[in-house]
Amino acid sequence: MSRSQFSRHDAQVEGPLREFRLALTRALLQAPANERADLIRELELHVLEAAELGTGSAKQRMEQAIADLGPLSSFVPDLAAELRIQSSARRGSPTAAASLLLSHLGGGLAKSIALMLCGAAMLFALLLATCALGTLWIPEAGLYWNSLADFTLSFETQEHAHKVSNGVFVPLALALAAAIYLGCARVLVWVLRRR
Amino acid sequence: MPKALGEAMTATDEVIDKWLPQVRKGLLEFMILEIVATRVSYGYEIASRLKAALRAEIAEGTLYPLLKRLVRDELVTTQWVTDSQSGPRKYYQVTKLGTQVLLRMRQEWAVIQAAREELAI
Repeated sequence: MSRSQFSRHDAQVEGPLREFRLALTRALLQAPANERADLIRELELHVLEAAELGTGSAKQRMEQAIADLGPLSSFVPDLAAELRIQSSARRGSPTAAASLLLSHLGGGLAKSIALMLCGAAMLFALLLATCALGTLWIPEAGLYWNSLADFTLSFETQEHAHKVSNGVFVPLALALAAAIYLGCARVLVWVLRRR
Repeated sequence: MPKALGEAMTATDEVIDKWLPQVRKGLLEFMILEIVATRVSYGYEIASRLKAALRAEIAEGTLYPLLKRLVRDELVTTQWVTDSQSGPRKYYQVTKLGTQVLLRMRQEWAVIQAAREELAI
């Protein structure tokens, strides 16, 4: 059987391919759906091309091509993990940042400083959001400023200081906190993606 | 073959069988970059060229996590291309950053080779 005689629509080809697709789909369940579909398509085409260039019956070629990939357990867990990181990284999620951080431990000084700054900024964003939401339950919580133009986030009344109106503080603080947090998460992922 | 020599060969093979995959694993990213720097390639082609060059059986699936990592590190980009004869294929192409990294890898590799030769004298 030559390449020209090999048909991708042959039952002897479609059967093993279907089984391979099912096994791959099961093994990649943890991976994001879009990336999973793309990868399965790529691996299917790999198998079909290898089978086309193989020898023996269509079934033998398919079995050999699938075997040449190696056991799924030898590469699918790494693939699934990689796809999860990439998917999260595109969204700039903090989980992705943590995953990338673990895989890039031991980076240079500049990277360490950038990571610390981003971490500190994200922590500040969380504090700001907590204080803004705290105004819903604690009337004294909010932003205070004094005659020296010092601003203080507090959960209790500050002496000799004026409280910024909650109507102004809460929406501004929440928007700022979200912007800082998401922005830093993206910067963090970008920094960590650098080698 | 004398029995002692046969046993020594087996022991050597055992050590090499453990050592070689580790060395190859460390160099695969370098080799994949060499391949995609030559011309845009797709997964099966990369696997075939690697196997032919290394004269060794490689579990072809293990190349895919490496390819994905190269994409994540922005050393290569991908693009689906459909050809009327070969059908759809996902092609990998080296980026500017990938080319720069490859140049550094070649330099580092030359240093390692020189060091080995120097130490072997």
